[in-house]
Order: sequence, then structure tokens, then C-alpha cells
Amino acid sequence: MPTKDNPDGYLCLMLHAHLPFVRHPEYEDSMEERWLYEAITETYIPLLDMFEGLLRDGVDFRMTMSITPPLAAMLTDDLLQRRYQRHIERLLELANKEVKRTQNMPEYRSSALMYQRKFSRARELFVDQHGRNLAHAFNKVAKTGKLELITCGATHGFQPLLQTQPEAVRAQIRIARRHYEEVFGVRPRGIWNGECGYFPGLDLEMRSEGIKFFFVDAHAILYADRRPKYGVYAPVLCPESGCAAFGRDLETSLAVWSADTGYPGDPVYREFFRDVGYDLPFDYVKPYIHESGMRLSTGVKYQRVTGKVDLADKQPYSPEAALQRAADHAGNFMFNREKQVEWLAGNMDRKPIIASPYDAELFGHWWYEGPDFLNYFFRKCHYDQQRLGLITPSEYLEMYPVNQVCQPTMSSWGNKGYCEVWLEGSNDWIYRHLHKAAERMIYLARNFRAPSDIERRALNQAARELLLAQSSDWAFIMKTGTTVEYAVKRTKEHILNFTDLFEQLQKRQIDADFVGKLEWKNNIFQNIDYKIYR
Amino acid sequence: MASKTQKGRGDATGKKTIRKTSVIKDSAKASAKSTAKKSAGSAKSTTMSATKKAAVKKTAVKKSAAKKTAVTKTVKKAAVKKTATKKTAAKKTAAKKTKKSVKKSTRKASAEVVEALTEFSVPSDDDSITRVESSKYQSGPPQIEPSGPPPAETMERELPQAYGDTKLVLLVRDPEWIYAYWEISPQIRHALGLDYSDKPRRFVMRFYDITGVTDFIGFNANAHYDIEIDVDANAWYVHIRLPDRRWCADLGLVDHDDDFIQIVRSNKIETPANFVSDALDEHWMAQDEEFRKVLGQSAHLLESSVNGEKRVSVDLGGRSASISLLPSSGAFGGSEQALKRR
Repeated sequence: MPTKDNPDGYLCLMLHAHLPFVRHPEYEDSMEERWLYEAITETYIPLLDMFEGLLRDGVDFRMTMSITPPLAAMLTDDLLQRRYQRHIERLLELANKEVKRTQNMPEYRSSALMYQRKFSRARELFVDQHGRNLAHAFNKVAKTGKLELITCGATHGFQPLLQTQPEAVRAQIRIARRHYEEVFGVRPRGIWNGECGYFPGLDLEMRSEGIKFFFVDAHAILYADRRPKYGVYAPVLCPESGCAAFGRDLETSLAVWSADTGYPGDPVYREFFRDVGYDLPFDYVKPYIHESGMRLSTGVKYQRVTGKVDLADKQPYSPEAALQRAADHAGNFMFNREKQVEWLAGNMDRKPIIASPYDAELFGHWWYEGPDFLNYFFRKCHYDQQRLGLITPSEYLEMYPVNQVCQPTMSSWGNKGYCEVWLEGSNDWIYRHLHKAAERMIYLARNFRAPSDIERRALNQAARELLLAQSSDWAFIMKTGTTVEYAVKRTKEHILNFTDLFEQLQKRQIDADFVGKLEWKNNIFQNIDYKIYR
Repeated sequence: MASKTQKGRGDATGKKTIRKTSVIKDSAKASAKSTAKKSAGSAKSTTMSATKKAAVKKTAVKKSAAKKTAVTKTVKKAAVKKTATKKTAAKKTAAKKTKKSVKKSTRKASAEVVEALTEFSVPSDDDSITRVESSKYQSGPPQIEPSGPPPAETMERELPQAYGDTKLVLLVRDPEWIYAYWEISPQIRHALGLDYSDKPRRFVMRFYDITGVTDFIGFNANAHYDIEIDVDANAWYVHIRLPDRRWCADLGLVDHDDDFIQIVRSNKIETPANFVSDALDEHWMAQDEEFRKVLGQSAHLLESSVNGEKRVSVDLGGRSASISLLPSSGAFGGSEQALKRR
């Protein structure tokens, strides 16, 4: 019989927390900064609140989480911290008004009270308890050993399509490792490569940064050069580097991810696309939408998924019913995992590990009840069963240091499993520019051996612009068609900034004002060293 | 390294960029002179015209509307979920039983695990996840415009069409498709008479299969395939069809005598395998640091030398394992025979 100390197998939940660098000091009210604020309110703070609650209640749990360098940079940025405080305080003001407005509207009343309570809690956690620094707050949880924080490429570059310049691939990893050390004070043991993108050889770059493990999609391991004895239910080691690759389990992925078949589509859960920002009279919501008067999501939403109906026909949301359903789904998820490890354990001569990576923002932002689901899941796992253990990749590797050696294949977790999401008609034009800029960056790094002070600043800024252009988010947005103009604009802007700096450096005529302006605006990786590109 | 840039000049012709798709019809036939096929589905113009973008936007809006309808399907599926679970559970017990009857053949078991996995682990075309993922970049239902006008210095500035280089770059899109982009400097275009020649010759990309070829020098490839391309294009999707191969390509001209004139050679790439390997030999190793720890803790350490290779036996969780210090032919957990390393 399995016991707490000797379960049949393990689940490794991995949340990938990432947003591109969307800091816009040049605007008082930036639309894209709202991506960050929404993620903070709906995902990062609820997760943090959950972790702290579990610790307080003595619930043993394990979670792995990548906080990408751009996200960590934004979470530790003074301007954005102040702006988020302003944002959440305004939101709380709206929630207070809503509680009054819905006094005689029983169908919306409990939702209005929920927002008031949640926003006030978010403000309290963010401002009062953690001094506006969420990166440090997560790090505190990580120090208990129950949360393993890992890194990601410096700007979430999609490495398979950057590999024409190996120095650019290396820089993505090395800069990420250094930034992680600056923010979290220790070396990262693992990495989530942007879009789960892998190609043979990438592991060597991870290895030289001391990174021990990474994640790949299932087919990377199943189609490896040798048949993986345990499929994706044990890590494999890359032949030359010895880096451990954990393969994604698709059964668990789809249960949560899929818009069509996953839990989040349940009719009682909160509807993402209805919001008071659109639904209420203009004058009433004006202070909470964009300063230009453009309506947008505020985060106060009163409808549930309902069913196959028009947005206008969505029914009122009930927080209590949704919470109950999240508990049911957590139970279902746990039951299925128990069955899964039981079966796997019967077929393996060691304890299986099920690696289940998800976008962190899926929990809370898209699936509003996602953090509640996780909370219930961790508590149920702790109290209700013994078959399934929770584990971090580091712990598993300590338990099983000897693993099969296989070469995983080039792959990603994007649709169809390879590069097509980031390399198709809408976005393939970017690569000739990204590659050329990388080539020029390498040239600059090799040729400027003893730069003057302003030249060094220009070189470092050139590296920042290149990195920001390489964010896989831009290609992804171009493909999915959400905010295409913005993604195109960002790609062009960073490439043009880079090209200007390159030409100024070539002519040895640096425009100090220009450099200063870029340093102020695109201030990611303040301690970057361009020599990484040598 | 190009120190001189020719910004905004683009192709000497200044013609609109064309991108097309090619399919190699008979991949087994070496040097197949396949005609370029213009697949309507993949052929797209590079220039991001305003109208096109607008069109993209509209479909996106519809898509998000469709998204919600798709989500509602889940209701029914949720109901079915339980039965499905039972089914899998039943299937699993069955699989378990069979496993017992095959004694402790780990090889067999491993094959089962892999096969069971392959069933639903193969990458498929389901963009419902992509749709969910994209919600992160939305602040709600309608399309969000960028925040105000872009800063003056970048406004209306376009990226150059070309950088004055002569190069061909291959990128692997998936196991069967390669994306190629190139540029030819105006000087070389001029020297080759690319833009005005009336000679009967073809502009081609010659793909070399260099799998296992260590020093490719132009004529020692396993095979080569020609793709005829448009002289005014600067990128192409090629359906190379063959996974698990190594490739390199030349951009060049084929004249009326079938002589190939090389213009420039590409980088080397590898299309990934998309099938479960037949190689059943198992190699095992430890991550070096942890490995030392294992050695230190193990009470039953035996050292022996097999074929000059240092081997140790380590007690791992009650099982004895023989691990080679080099990642070769280690026998651990049921590997009956050690095959040669590839």
C-alpha cells in the first residue's frame, strides 16, 4: 500500500509565469501595462496568497514555477510597482462603488462583494505585506523548499529559430541566469525555455550556466534517438551535457488547457469576455477605463460561461457555485492522477513522475477559478490520499540521479509541436532582421575591446534592444491576431533602435541623448554586459 | 561581416517580395527536377498591407466569439468525462494484467508505456490551446489599439528589405518543412544578370541531403533535390518531406546545359525525427554532481574494469545497478544487450 512517504508516483506541477517587457514610461496610461496589472491581480497575487495559506495551515505541497526575466524585471521595477498600486487602489474604488450600486440586485450582489474583498486583499498583500515586491515575496515561499523557482530565456526568445547565431542563444540563457541571481540571490537549477522550445545543442548552453534540468514537450522524448524506456514518465539525460529533460504529459495538459474540453469551459465558471468596462454607462466607468475614453476590461465581471449563447445572453455569475465546481474539478483531477500513477507504477520499475506544465496566467486570468482549483487540489492531495506525491524536478533528480541517456528532438509546445506558430505567413518576415541584428551584435562585441564610457553604454543598450526584439511574444501575437499592431511596432522599434546604435558605433559618433533616452525607456537588465556576445 | 549597410534599398529590382511554397514530389528520386508548386494555402505576400491587417483583425474577433461557443461544448464533455475515466482505468488494468503475464520483461513493458503514450502524445493540430494562451495579451473582448502614436523617431520608419548581403538561411519549421530566406546583393544580381537576362535558365535552390556526411564539400551529398524558385522572391517554404535528415542548400542557376552555377551556400540544419526510435539499447548515466553523491553514500561499491572502461555497481533503492562512467552500454534495469552507440 502506498503511504505519504512512499507514494506510487509523483506529479510535478509547473507554472510558467511570463509576460513580455511592457513597461511604457512614455505613457501615463498604457494599455499593455494592463496585461501586467491584470496578471498581478488575478494570477500572481492569488497564487502567492494560496502558497502563504498552505504554509500557514501546514499543508505540504510542491510546485515549480518559472518567473521569466522580463516578468521579474517588471515585478522589481519601481515605476511599475507604483503604477500597480495606483491601479489596484482605483480598482478597489470601483469595487466599492459596485457594492453600493448592486445593493438591490441580488444576482450581482455576491460577485460585487467578492471583488471588494479580493481587491482589498490584493492591495493589502502587495503594499502592506510585501512592500510592492512580488518577486521577493515568491522567493520567500521558495526558501521553504516547497516552491522551486526556475528561469527562462532572457526575453523568452524562441531558441530553435535563433540558433543560426549560437552567441544569441547563449546570451539568452546567460543573461537569464545572471538576472535570476540578481533577483533571487541563488543560481537557477532549472529552466523553462520559451515556448518549451528545444533543439539538440541547446542543453550545452544550459549546462555551461550550471542549469540541471529543463522541460520539453512529450514528442521531444518519445521521438528521441533511442526509445525512452519510461516514455515521458521519467526524465532523460542529454548525451553530451547530462542535462535532464522532463517531458510534458499531455493528458494532464489538456484537462486544464483546452478551451474546448478543459475544466475552464464549465458553464458555472466566470466569463472572460464580459466586463463592466463595456457594459456600464460611459460616465460611470470613465475613471476606470483608458484615459483616452476607450472602453476596456476592468476586471469586474458579473457573468458566467453559461453555455452556447451570445455574450449578451450570459447569465449572472455565482462565486459560491463556481467555488464548489472548482473543488469538484480538483477532486476529479486528483482522482485521475491517482489512477494514472497507479497504472504507470505497475508498468515501471521506479516511481513515475508526471510533469504538467501550464501558463501561470491561465490560472486566474483566463480561468478565474484556477487558483481556487489549485488550492483545493493541494489540500485534497495532502489530506485525502497517499497514492500521489507532489515533487519538484530537483527532488526527483536527487531521488533518481541515474537516468536513461537519449537525445530529445527539436520541438516546442506550440500548435503542431514545432515552429509553425512562430514561423508562418504573419511573422516569418522578422527572422531576417533578428538574425542580422544578432550577427551585428556579435560583430560589435568582438570589435569593441576598449570602448569609451558612452560607447559601452551604447553597446549595452544595443544588446537590450536586440533581446527585446527577440521576445517570442511578438511573433505569437502576430499569429494569433490579438494586438498585432503593437507586436509589429515593438519588433520594428527595437530593430530600428538597434540599427541606429549599430551605425552610430560604426561611425564612432554616439548620440548621447539618444542612448540616454533608450536607457530610460527600455531599462531591462540594468547590469547587462555586451561582452556576452563575444 | 558586413560593415556597410544599404538601408532601405531592398532588392535592386525594388519589386514586391514574393514568397511561395514548394513541394518535392518524389523525394526518393535524387536530383528530381521538381517544378515549384504554388500551394494556395501557404503562399502569402510579405508586405503587411493595411488592408490585410484589417482582415486579420476581423477574423480574430470572430475567432474569439467562436472561442466561447467552443467552450460551451465542454458541458457535454464534462458529463462524459467520468465514463471516459472509467474506460481508461479499465484499459489500464487490462494492460497491467497483460504485463504480469509477460513476466518481468521490462523491455516489453517499456514498449507498452511508449506505445500507450504515443497514442495521445503525438503533436496534433488543435489550436484551442493557442487560443487560450493568447488571452494573456488581451485586456478584454475587442481588439486593443496600441497606446497612442509611436514615438516620433520610429514613426513611419520601415525595416530595410535587404541588408546588401548575399546569403541563404534555412530554418526548420517542422519535420517535413523548411523555411528558406535569402538575399542577393545588387552587385551579384547585376553580375549574374538576374534581372534582365533572357537566357533560358532556371533560378533554383538545390537541397543536399548531408545526413552522416561529415565534411560536405559540394559533391559528396547523399542526394540532392532542386526547387525552382521565382527570381523575385526572397523567401520560400519547402516541403522537403524527409524527417530525421541533415540538410544544406545552394542558391544558384541552372543553365540550358544543366550546369549548376552556385551563388551562395546556406547554413546546415536538421529536420527532427517524428517517429519512435527502433533503437532499444539503453544507456544510463547520472548527472555528475549527484553521481558523486550516490557513490559516496553507497555502501556496496564495486569497481571493475570491462573492456578498459571503468564501471561501478551502485546500490540504488534496493536494486543493484551497473553504471558505466561513460554514457555507453550501461546495463541497468533490464537492458539485455548493449548495442553499439550510434
